Amino acid sequence: MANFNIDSKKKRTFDAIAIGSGISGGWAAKELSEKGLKTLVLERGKEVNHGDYPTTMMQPWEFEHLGQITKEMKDANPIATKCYAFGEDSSHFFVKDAEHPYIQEKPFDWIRGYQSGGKSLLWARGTQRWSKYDFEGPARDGFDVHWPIGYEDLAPWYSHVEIFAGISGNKDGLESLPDGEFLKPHEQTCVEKHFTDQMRKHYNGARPVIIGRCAHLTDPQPIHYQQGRAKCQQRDLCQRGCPYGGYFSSNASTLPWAKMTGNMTMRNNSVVHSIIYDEKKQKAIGVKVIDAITKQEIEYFARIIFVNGSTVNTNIILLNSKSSRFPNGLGNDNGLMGKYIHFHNFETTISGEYEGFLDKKTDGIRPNGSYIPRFRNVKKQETDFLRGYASGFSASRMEVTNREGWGEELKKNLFEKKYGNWRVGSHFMGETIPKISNYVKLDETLKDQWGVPQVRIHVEMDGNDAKMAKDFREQLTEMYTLAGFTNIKTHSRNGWNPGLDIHEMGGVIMGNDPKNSQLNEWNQLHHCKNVFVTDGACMTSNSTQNPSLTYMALTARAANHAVEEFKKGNL
Amino acid sequence: MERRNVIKSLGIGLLGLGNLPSWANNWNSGSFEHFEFENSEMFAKIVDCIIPETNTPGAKSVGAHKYLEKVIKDCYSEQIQSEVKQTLKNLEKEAMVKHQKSFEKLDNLQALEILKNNTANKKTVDFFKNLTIRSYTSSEYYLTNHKNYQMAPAYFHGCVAI
Repeated sequence: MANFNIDSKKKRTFDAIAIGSGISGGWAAKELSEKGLKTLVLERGKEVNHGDYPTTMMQPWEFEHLGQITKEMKDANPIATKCYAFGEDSSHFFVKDAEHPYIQEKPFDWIRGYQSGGKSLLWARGTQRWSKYDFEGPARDGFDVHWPIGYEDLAPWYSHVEIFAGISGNKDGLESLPDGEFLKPHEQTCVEKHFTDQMRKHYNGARPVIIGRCAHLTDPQPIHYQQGRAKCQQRDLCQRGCPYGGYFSSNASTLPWAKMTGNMTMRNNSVVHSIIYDEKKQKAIGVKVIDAITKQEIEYFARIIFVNGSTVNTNIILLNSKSSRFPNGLGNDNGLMGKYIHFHNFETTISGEYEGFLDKKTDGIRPNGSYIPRFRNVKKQETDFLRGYASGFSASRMEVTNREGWGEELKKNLFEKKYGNWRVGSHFMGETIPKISNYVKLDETLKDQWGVPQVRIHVEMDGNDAKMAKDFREQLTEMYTLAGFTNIKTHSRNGWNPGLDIHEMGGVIMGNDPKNSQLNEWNQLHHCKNVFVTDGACMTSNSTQNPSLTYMALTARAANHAVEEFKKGNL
Repeated sequence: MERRNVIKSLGIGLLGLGNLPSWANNWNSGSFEHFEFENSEMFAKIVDCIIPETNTPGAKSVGAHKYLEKVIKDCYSEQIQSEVKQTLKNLEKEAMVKHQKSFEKLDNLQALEILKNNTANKKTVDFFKNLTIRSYTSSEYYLTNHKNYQMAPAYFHGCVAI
């Protein structure tokens, strides 16, 4: 019996464990296993191998509700169905509200994807680097916690992940949005080019409008073919999962790569309850897992643990990892773990029309749009609110369907070829200030079906967010007017709550000072150095870029540091 | 099927698209149970008179009546469903009064006349029209013959002459 136990423990012992297989966990798996570490990847959701995309080849007319969500689904999932990507073709990749309850102290739309690859199957694929102004922001503007690293620390790792993931973009030479290792860019439309030119003229280059940078293989390189991926076919059906691997996901890229090394073991249906801390060794020695289906408890052991459970779940796991040394959660000596939750503000949009280029249209499909990098308060404070916002910009021209009449007349009208004006629109993506008053914490009594405490979420917008949204509406109205657009309308997104950005960050943030942060400059817990956090939870601030590329770069950087320390015997 | 063959010939069929895990095969099961309105034949007549067969297929041949029945049952509130039932009753009643025939037995011009001039249920009649247009303009016939629809164009040009 004793031997059996030793054998069993040996089988459950690895060099490293990555908790989560989403966009950052996939990178931890790839880097650690590629460098020779026997790595266990724990994924709480079902197995979805690349290609397991049931709707991906379906034609629009093959959906029995033509894409519409059923009433039953909507009533049962008031939160998940708010997500823009949730549809008849993708609902199977979203967590259903009732299965994973949480407590909203303030309205928070928590969107989750529990399966191999997590939300990397569903993401919007925008990938912009941070600049030095973004990393320096919290110090310049007096935030409570400042970044322990700068652009120079991360730049080589941005390159590292861009080359492998495949990022399309144009070298725009902007200080506020550094260029990366780009595959060929998508094309702007006539009206987007017009807008770019007009803005250059009117603002002397201070408000550039560029083609979006996104994780699509516009021009695949040998490294992408080696992953088994092919050129993006420009279907723009990404939320179904892509059979070509045309966009970056853990499923198409990092996970199969890690598997090919022979060093990765993946275990699905593995809900991590907590991390096990050894009081004598003074380090984490493994994790306690509850099998999602059998509810059986199993322990796994490793010298390195990467926590990539997605922002809120990473907070839950660490807060729930209690020991005599850490009664308030692993690494949480300052009591601030779970606080400083921040997000991107998407609560407003603008739309308009353009009556020029009436002899032109677009052809084909582009899974991307144009992008307006932050132009407010970049180098110095200029407004009555702190920080700034990025905006999308897209201009397209659709055929208008003439729906007049009945019978044969209607039928004739439906076959009329007619184009309307160009339609233009922008969304708002505002930086929010990390605050101690925005937090997640564990409920003292309520638990989920696996015995993990339910989370209480308390995140609100503030006056700075409102002023910034107002500025977006004013500035974009001015810009649209200068470009000659008409029928300009600003919109408030009724019912938009924090969380629906799916950019929730913080709670286990990086900083130099253990008094007010949890992680050091290598994403190690200050007080438990063999535990690394490199998903959204680690973010000290959020700036105005889509965050995934930065999670990937931070993960690759931390994983390579972990491997070096492991080989030196320091972990 | 053609598209799937193209995918296979590209070697992408090797990914196992035909061999999905059980959760994926069942992703939509349960939604196929049928709900019949008391007079479901009426939908066939309604879509047929809104977009009739001519020398090209009409709404009925693309299955719009099945879509209407399905989507109203699965995606709309009880309130709307009961308005639909009431409207169907009223149309039937009017058909009997005017033509001494069931609505579904009318010829298209007679049916359309009743439908168009039904002011008491205008909201629901417009709803039928919108759903019929939606179904027709999402059909394989319309998208491939009129819209030059391509699922995977593999290109994008931002500015071409019309």
